[in-house]
Amino acid sequence: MRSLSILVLIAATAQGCAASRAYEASDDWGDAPAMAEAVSGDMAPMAFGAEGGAPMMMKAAPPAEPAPSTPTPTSPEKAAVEASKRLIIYTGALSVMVPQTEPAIVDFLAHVEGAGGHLQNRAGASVTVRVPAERFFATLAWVRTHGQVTDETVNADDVTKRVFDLELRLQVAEESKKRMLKLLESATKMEDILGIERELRRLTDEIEGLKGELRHLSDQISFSTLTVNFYADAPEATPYPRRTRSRFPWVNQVGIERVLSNF
Amino acid sequence: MRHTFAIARVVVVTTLLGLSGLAGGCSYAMQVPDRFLVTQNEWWELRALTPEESKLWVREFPDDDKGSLSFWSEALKSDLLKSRGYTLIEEGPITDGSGREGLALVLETSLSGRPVRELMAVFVIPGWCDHTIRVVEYVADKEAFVAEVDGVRASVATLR
Repeated sequence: MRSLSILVLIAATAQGCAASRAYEASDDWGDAPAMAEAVSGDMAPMAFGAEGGAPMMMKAAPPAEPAPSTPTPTSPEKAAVEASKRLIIYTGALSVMVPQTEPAIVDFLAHVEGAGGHLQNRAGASVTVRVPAERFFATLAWVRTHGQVTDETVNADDVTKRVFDLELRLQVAEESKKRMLKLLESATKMEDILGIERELRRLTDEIEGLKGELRHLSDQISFSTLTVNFYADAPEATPYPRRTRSRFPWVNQVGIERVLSNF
Repeated sequence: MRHTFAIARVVVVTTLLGLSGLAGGCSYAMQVPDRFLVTQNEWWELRALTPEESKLWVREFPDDDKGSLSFWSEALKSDLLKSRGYTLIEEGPITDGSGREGLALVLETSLSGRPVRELMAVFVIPGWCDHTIRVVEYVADKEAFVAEVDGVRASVATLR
């Protein structure tokens, strides 16, 4: 009878994991809180700090269901509220032309450090830095005012659903592990003990993997990654200019190619 | 009769000398950097070269419309940056030998894969009938440009 109950419990655990994975396939963010409640009660979504310490609340938790007495906000308001709670990983890449690369890189790194960021990698005149997410756009603006940006790519990766799903899976795995430990205390048959221990190992591996992934995401969200490629030579002159001649005659007579050909 | 011819000859010679002196006085007064050789200095233009053929060219253009310095600055930048694809390296004020305020641009482009830079200084000289736009241009390969640009800036400060 006890063996049967253990098997039922293991099956239920596996089903719980399957339920969280099934949610992963859904794109409907609005169903997530309901799913969380159905699986594990009213557990708050959690994340893990970069240092790998105790679990802590994410800065932007998924939207809670409004209380029945609260008037439902209009769509734009609701969208704005939800947008403010989004967990976004910002990355950017810029090519910047400057008079001299080395002083520009030194200035840039000093600015990044002043903003609470740090150098991640440098290869020649290509510099990759991590800056606090809240200073990401200010840093982009700083670069724009300290050189001529010739190429710019900014990416915002919304990982809200992914984080929520990982947190959910982590909660389920931890609850299962607790139940397994209780079962292990009361198990007497060697076969049962071995089965429970095998399941515990699997759950422990899964929990560690999920924590690591959450820690990585938390770090990516907190610190944006910015790669700036500094260079000192201008690109080729526009081969097919928008307008070949200025409407002011004297303007057409000055400029590099005019000096070189008419001098 | 002979006396009349002598007077006429003196008048003609004096006039010619006066005109030539006037023309000579209208050429540019500018101390070019040491490595530059002035190859032409007339009232309408000054040209100078380095041994590597970096070019320094001072010219004037009439402006019947009497545009302001800020207007021409914007017109120039619009054409050079947007239409021709130059890259603006620096922009700032510059003063000539008579204390007139102008605009200095440092521009760069690539010609056949090699970077070429230009220092362009623009001054607007107000007149009764029209304005005169005086343009100083120094064009060189980037390496040579960097070596000489400070000297050219100093020369512009002596331009009258």
